[in-house]
Amino acid sequence: MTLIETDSFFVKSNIQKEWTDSNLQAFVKDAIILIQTFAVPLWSAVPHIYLSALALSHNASEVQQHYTARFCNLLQCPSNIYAKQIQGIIKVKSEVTGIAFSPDGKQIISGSDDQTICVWDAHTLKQIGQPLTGCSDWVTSVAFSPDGKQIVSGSGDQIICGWDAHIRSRERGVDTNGDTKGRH
Amino acid sequence: MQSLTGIGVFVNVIDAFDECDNCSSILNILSKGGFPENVYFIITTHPEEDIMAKLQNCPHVLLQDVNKLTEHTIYKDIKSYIHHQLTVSHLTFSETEIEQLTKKADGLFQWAATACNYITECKAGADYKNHFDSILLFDPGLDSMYTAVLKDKISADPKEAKSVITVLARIIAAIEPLSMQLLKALCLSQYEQQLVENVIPLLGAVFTVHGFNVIRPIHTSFRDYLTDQARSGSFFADINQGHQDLAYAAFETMKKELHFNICQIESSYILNSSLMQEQIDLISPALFYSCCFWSDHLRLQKAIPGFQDTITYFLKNHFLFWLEVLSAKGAYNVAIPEMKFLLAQTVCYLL
Repeated sequence: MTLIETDSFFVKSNIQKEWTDSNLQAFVKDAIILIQTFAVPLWSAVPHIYLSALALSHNASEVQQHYTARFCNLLQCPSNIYAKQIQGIIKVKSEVTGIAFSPDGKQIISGSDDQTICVWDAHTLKQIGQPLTGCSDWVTSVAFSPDGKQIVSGSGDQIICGWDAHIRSRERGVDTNGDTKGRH
Repeated sequence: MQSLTGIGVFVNVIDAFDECDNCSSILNILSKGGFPENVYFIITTHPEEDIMAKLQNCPHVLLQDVNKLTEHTIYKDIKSYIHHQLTVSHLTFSETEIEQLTKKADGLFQWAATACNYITECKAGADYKNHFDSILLFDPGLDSMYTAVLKDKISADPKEAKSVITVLARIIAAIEPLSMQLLKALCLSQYEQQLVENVIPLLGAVFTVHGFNVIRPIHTSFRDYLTDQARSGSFFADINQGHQDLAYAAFETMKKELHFNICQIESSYILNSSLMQEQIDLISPALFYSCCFWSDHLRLQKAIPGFQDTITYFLKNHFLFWLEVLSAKGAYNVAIPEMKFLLAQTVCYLL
């Protein structure tokens, strides 16, 4: 049993909401996303225009909203399987090489190739205090301790540093034999 | 090539060599030489630097700059061209008549070609002598030749003449050369379709209809003539109008022909690679042309009047069916550019 051959798959409906110019623009934007995202199934099998591209498009996509009503028995996806939209952006001055959340989710730390570590307010995305300095090479990874009281960083100078998360001063360094390529 | 041991002379002709895709690799082979003695190449090319650099100093290459040919040589060439053209059409002309025509050509090959086409196209009657006589009365030069041919073939009725010219404008504006059938399909009114059928065959002197019935202007000079109002006067073909007409026809064709499951695919398990030709052929050439080129015809217009409703209708009703056509035909490279063009347009509308 395949979908496309069933008579009731495509419904000739005339239900159309009125479109404004911005609808039109949003539709075209979402159409481009749909074509790019589903390029492989779209161009290898005509039925997958409906079965993959239309069915699996984001629920907020104008294309999906406009066309799904006209097709029955399409696979339905709960909206929470899609990544949320970007909520905010932190602009930094140099390449970000490591990033981590504090255990309570209130802070973000980032390490970068200018040898510094920055702390950010996870809600306002504003920087908290001055950048932590003391590493003498790229910071390659950063992490919080499980209790949130300490920050550790690994860097290209073969040193792992521990920092007090509250007063944010370097506590101690541990020499290693190679670059510290951390995992959180 | 080395294994070519046949008897006789092999002449290979490469026309417009500089436009060949693999020009440089062929150039390497040609410049090395060492071909069997009975193998010759005749190459025509623009004097591109890289080509000239490779070929200039080869002892086995004879370079001939056509711009430096003497008038006498050109005269002789045109004369033998005219003689050949008239002979293959089984028309008999005296030596003096051919001389007359050659003189009239005044060194222009394109003039001679158009003149021969004009004379030889009236195969049925003995009419060709009249055509010959009238050519001798034309003002000299290519433009007067084109004007005279059009004047002769296109109805004197200004309204009908205008309709013919709008059809010609479409031929010129087409993104890909159109076949007779395709041009007819992209003419929406029956009157225009009739014109295509009746008039295009008469214009053999200025439009060639090649294999697969593809219509092309005989030469770029005719295209330039048609699209330059100063040169063509009342026969001026407005290419902008041509694009507008074709864009309109494209949207109408899509509106009429696009529908769900156009290839009648029986199962959703079937891949495009397993579609049968008969299924793909359910997409008409006019529909495929429309799906591929509607945005080009919008883009090439100076202004896009009143297409917004049409575009909205297309997106609301046929967007997914349009993808079907592009997918089935393997023409997916046009999808993103067409949508991006629309996006740019919608931004313009909003501003």
